Amino acid sequence: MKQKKPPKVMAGQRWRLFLAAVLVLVVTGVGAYRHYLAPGSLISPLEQRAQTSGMGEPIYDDVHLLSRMVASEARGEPYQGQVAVAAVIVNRVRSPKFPGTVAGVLFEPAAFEPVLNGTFWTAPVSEEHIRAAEQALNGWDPSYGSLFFWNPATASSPWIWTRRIITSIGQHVFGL
Amino acid sequence: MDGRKATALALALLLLVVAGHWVWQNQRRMRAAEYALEANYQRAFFDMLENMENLDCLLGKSLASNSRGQRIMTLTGIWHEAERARGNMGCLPLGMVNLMRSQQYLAQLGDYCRLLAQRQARDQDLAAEEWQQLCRFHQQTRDIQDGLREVLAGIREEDLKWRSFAALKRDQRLTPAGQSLADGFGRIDEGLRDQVPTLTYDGPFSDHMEEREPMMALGERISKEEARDRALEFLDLKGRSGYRIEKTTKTRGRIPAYNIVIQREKDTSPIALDVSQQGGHILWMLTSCTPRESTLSLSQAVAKGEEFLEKKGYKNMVPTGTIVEGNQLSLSFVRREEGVIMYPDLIKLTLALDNGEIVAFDALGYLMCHHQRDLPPPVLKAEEAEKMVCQQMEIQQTRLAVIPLGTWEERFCYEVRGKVNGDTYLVYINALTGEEEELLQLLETEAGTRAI
Repeated sequence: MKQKKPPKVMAGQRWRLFLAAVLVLVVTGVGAYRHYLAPGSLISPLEQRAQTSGMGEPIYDDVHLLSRMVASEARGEPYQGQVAVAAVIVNRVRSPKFPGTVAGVLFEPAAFEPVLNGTFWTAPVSEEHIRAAEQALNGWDPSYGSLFFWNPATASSPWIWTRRIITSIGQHVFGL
Repeated sequence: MDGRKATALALALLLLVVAGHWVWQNQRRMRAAEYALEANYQRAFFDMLENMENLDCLLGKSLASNSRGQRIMTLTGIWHEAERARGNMGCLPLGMVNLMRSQQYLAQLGDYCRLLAQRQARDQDLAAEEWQQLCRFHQQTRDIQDGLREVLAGIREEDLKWRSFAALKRDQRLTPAGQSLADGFGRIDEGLRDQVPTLTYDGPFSDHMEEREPMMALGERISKEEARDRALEFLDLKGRSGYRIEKTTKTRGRIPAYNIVIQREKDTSPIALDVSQQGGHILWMLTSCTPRESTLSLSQAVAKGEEFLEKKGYKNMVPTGTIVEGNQLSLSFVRREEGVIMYPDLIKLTLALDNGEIVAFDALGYLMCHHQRDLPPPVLKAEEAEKMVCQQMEIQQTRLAVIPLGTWEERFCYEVRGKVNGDTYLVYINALTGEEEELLQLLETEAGTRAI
């Protein structure tokens, strides 16, 4: 068929056809990738460990969620800052002012930005993040019982500054 | 129209159809997600209404009842119902409204009633003050319920959807209807803040728990330079080279301290530690390292930990628990005095299992709780304590211990370790009264033993 095309084809028309075809391919390609491939391709050290560790270990689920929190909220922070972020979640679980489980605290509506914008699920979790979460679950707390942490450069709520500041580590301020 | 134009048109149409289908499907999916979200919020709200009604009813019954068994049932019911209400409240998308006081109110109500139930079960009568407190709780619960009914009326009138809240960012303005709903919750919270006095009792959620201070004298105030010296001494870097102190800042926690960050040349990441401003104690130390292998055995690692504590001046410390995480081992040590295990005097260590280096240290528990205890001689003999545990228990070991109660309080007990139905438990029998104070199950996992 293609060989029998009339010879009058203008270069511009062919180009337009090509562009349309590329567009269709790109749209369907991206759609298919997002549909079928993306979730599976995100295998972090966390999942790898989950496959080797034993079953029915309730504390493990908390490590899983906490290290995601560390990965999304404390990326690039010094290690003590990562442990402190995880410790704030643990402190909230123990506090009467917040829900009594790790999941309850993390998924309290509008409590944490990464949960709202989805980076909580996409930020790659490193071994360091997992260790920071474990250390906080084991009781290390560089924030001394802090219930809040915020970035002074980007914090939008003036209310947050009414809190008693305990310490500041890296980009974060920790307070009660 | 030649063939090429037709193809182009067909292609354009196809594109349009594909795009249209995609938009329609997305819309449908989004709406489904929104309805699912709304259903969740509605469930949380209506369940909370029911929880509050149950609380009202149970509080009333606990006041009216004169039977101990009945009262224990209602008080325990209050505890559970209050926790459920708290969970449901935490699911509502009211992030912009501050609900901390309401959360705290429910937590304390439940905690208080749990302790009352425990006391009733130990044949203690309800004190006049406790009865009064239950009356106050009853009234406050009714006030909250009134507030919630107002909110409900507002929702019905305006046909308000909860999900419209969830979509809002913190700094975005609410619609007038949304604002009235938020205000309704804000009023409930403020009402509690204004009318409910701070509540002090023996539970872990009591208001006095927030203002804890160390029980021992920490020592003289030290300067920044002295603190750095202590840090270097602790890390065995004093008088050596190959490190630099990156920064020293102040922290204002329960024990005010200097936060010192030290980078050793051989490490990739720095070591952070806090040195108390009074007495120069190392409160905690943390460093990030990922050991690639485990060459030390558990007992070798425990011996290394013991040796480290001995060197740092913590004598008579006995290991009480281990957790293996990757190629690291976390250990807890507690003090033993004249054969009595002092669980509150707790120090934790994390060791790298390749070279035995200490990568994390935490003495905050020890420094907060250690003090001269002057324990009386036990009233009960060990054999008597063993007779007080569950009859089916095969006893393995009995020793004296001081245990923390989740509050500032401690109890002098016999720790009876034994097996029931295949599982291992620790039972704590008060060495003076014979009361069963605490019961822990030892959960054997691959990583180590956890007491729950």
